[in-house]
Amino acid sequence: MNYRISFPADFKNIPPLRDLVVHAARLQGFSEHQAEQLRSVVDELCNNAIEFGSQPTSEVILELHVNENAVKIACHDQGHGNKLKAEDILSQLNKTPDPNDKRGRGVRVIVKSFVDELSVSDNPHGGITVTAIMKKK
Amino acid sequence: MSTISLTFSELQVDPGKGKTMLAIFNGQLDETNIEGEAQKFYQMLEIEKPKNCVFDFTGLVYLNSKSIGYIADWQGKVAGGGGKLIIFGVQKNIFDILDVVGLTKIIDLVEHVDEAKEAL
Repeated sequence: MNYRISFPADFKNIPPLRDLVVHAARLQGFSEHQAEQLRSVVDELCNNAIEFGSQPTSEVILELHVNENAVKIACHDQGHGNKLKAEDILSQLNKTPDPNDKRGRGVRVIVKSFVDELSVSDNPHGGITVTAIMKKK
Repeated sequence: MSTISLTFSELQVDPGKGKTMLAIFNGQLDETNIEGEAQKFYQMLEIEKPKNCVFDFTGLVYLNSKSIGYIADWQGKVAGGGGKLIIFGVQKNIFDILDVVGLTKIIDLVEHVDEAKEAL
C-alpha cells in the first residue's frame, strides 16, 4: 500500500493520518505494539514539519509505504518555518535532550527509539524530508 | 481536533498525606489540545494548591511528546512542593512512550487508584 497525502499545515489534520498509518500497519500484519509505535512516529514527524518547517499557508506531504515487511514514512515540509537544513536537524538529533526542557523528546527520543532507520535530507526546492523505516518484528 | 476530557476532583486519602487532587484523562492528548489542557492543570494547581496529584490514565489512549513535556513539568512542580505525582491505569502504548523518554524512572506508575493512595 502506498499513499501520498498533501495537507495544509494545520495540526488538526494529523489525527486522521495517525489512524491511517495504524490501520495500514494492522492490515499488513504488524503487531498492535508496532502499530501503536507507528502512531507516535507519524504524529511526531508531521508535528515537526508543521511547527518548524511550515507557515499557515504551507503544505506538508506525507508518503506512506506499507508492505508485509516494513513501513516507510516520509514527511516533507516546504521549509517555510525556521529554514533549518538537514545537517542542522541531524546534529540536533544527536544531542541528548535536557530533562528540564518541555520539548525535544519527539523525533530525538521517541521516533529514534521506535524505528529501525531514520534519515533527514534537504528537498531540492527548500525544506527537508524526514524518513523513518520500521521493520516488522 | 482530538477529543480529550480532563476533570479534577479531590481524592480522599489519609489526612496525613496532604491534599490530593485526582485528574482523570479521557481521550487523546496531542498538539491540537495539550496547550489548553495544560492551562487547566496549572489553574487547578493555583486554585487548589494540592500537595499530591494522582492521574487516572485508564481512558487516555494517546499522548504525544509535547504532552510528555508538560507531565514532566507538572511532576517537577508537585515534587517541588514536597508532594508526589502518581499515575494509574496506564495503557500499554502509553507506558511504552513514557518509558522510552524516561518518565517511568521519576513518576510512580501503579495499576489501581488504591495503590496510588498507598504510594503517596
